[in-house]
Amino acid sequence: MATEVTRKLCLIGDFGVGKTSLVNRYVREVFDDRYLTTVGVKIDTKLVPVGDVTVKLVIWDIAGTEEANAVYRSYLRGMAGFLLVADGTRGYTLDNALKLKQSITEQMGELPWVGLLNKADLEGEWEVPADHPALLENPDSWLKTSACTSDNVQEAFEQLAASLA
Amino acid sequence: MSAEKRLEALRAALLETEQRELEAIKSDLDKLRAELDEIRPTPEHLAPLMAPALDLAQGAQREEMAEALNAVVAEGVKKSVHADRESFAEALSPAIGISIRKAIAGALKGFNQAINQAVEYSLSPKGLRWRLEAARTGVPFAQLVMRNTLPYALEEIFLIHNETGLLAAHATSGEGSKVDSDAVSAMLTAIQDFVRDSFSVGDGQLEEVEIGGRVVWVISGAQLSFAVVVHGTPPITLRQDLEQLLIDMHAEFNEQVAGFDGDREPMAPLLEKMQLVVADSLSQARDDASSGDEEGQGKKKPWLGILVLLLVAASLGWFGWQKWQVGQAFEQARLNLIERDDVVLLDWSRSGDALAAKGMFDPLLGPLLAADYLPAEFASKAQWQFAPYRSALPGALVAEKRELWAVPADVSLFQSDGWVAEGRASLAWVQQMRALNLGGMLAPSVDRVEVNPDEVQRWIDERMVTGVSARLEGEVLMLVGDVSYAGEAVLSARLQRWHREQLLLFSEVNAEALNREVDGQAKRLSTNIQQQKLAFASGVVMSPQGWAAMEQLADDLNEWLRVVPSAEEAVLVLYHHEEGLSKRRATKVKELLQQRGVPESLIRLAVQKQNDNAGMAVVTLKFTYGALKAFDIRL
Repeated sequence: MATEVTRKLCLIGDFGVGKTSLVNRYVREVFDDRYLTTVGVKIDTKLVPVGDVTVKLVIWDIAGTEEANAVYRSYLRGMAGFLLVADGTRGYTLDNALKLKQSITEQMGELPWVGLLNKADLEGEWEVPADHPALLENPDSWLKTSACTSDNVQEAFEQLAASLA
Repeated sequence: MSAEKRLEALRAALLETEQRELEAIKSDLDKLRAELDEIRPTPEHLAPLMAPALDLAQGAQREEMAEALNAVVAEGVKKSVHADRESFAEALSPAIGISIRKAIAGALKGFNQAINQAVEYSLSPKGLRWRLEAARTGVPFAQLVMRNTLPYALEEIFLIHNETGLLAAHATSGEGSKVDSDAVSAMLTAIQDFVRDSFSVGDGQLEEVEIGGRVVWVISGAQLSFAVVVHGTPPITLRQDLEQLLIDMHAEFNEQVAGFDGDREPMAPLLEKMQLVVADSLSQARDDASSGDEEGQGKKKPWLGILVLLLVAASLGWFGWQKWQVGQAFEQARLNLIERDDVVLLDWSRSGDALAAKGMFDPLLGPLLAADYLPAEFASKAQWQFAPYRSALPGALVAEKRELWAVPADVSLFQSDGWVAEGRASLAWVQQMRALNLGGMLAPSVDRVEVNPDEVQRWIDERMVTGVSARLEGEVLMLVGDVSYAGEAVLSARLQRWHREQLLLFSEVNAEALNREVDGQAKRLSTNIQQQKLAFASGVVMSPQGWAAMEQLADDLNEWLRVVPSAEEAVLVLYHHEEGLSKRRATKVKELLQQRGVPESLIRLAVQKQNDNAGMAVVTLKFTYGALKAFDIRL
């Protein structure tokens, strides 16, 4: 059995939901953030032990978008799973994230994913209701995260890595 | 009736209808069985089922199906190609076209690179340095170029899965990127996608990125791509070799390639091949470098290097000296040119040995030829365009006059109350100028022009009559020798003309040393002529004696004209009385003499004084000729 496998995962979500902050919090930064504004993607890697296998996550932090255009789709090509990120203080970002997820599923089939409701540290501004249908439908797939306090950040990546091993 | 029979009868009564239906069904079933036994599966039956059956095949089933179909499909393709090549080629052309296009583009790129290299190495200072090195070390030039262009390092090869951008294998020489190779692999894929989608290049792709001294080649295959990092200038063939390696890897490890999902272990054989390529390129570069060094050490000839350097230095020095000299020659020519007052220099452009000079000059002040100013080798090539003009310089007027009067080089010309010539000149030129002055035409005074006395003497000698010699002493012409009657006349006329026309400047003729010698024949004729008696019988009719005398007179006069050069100056005067017979007789004699060839100019009628032979119709002859009074020269 291989001791190490590599998997491509993508961070998907609206502008400003905190995708890059989550990655930066989780991994040693390899490339400069400016790549996001130039080619629209920044890539980092992280080794995650899952049982007796080490999964090397190749994390594609894709610049936020409202619709999956050609470049966006090409970045998603070949991913093994994705983190669906929404900003808990802006409810509409969850709706947009769900639309993106639906679009991806239609094009690429069902893939492992973990949903992140980010900015959990801003509890006072929280907009996403706990009984949101999406949360109720897959309660185990959603985590409240905070790139600021690191809450659930590692858990989110590791949960996805476990499903990709 | 037993209970059993009763039960049977009851069943029959109750289930009669169902029984019949059951029988009918049995009958139908038997019929169907019979039909099914007869039916064999036909293409018509199977055709609609094939596609759904293939779609439904999953996992191992699918692989089994692929294996089962493999041989059949291969055979089918073979037969199809054999049967209808054109259709097959048409079907494959879209895929093959792309491959061919890529291959041709690659080959042309390599060819272009080869040409660039050849040009660069042939003409550049680097190329010349290598040629010198080749001569010095004995290493062939081509090998040297190879050696010097080969120092490259194949640092890394990334084998990237096209679909996911995941790194399938990574071979490195140990000097590779410090960044995570998985991240590099993914980022390269992202950039590739970004470039392709941003510029809508379709099948095109990013093939090469140059960063400083490194070049990153992206070589795409069907499922995997190479990203090759090379430091330095790689040989042309390296890329081609790597392209071939990628194709070979796809073919040889098709199963591993197709099944790649991020697990790199199955890709180990591919990594091995990549490592071999990296190691080979390293050892080749080292071999080339070391063999070059060894050869260089083995055949080193330092003295040859020094000699070459000296030759180069000498050549450069010589070229520099030549160039400097040429520059000096041109500059001197320019200075000489502008020194001439009449020359107006409008353009003086020099490029190497070629000169373009334009301007104006006054031809009266002398010719302006390139050959007079430039060395011959440059003059012939120079564009020498000088237009003539008339300058207002004082020298120009003098030059004009000099040209007009053909003033000799040793004579200077200037204005001092008229034009004055001064210097030494030939007698002929001096005589010409005097003639012009006498004729009232503008000419310089030649009083200050010296003429060689020998030339003057020669001139006199050539023109002096026989027996006489003359020489000029100051303003006196001294005559010496013996002169005849005829000579006297000629000499007299000639000297008068010389004096009158200022052909020779003298104010006096000294003939004391000249002995006059009477010419016998001239004197006899003269005497004969004067002694003739022309007797008339009556009226104007001559007596026989007179006629004979007239005939003799005519002969003598004609003879005179023949033997005496200055005969034209002689005159036969026929004296007569004013009117009457005497005049008629004189006129008749003149007429008769003219009829016998005597020119009219030689005969003159003159009236004799009345007291001489008064009343007689006498014609008196008197023959005179100039020589007799020749030396009463009135200058």
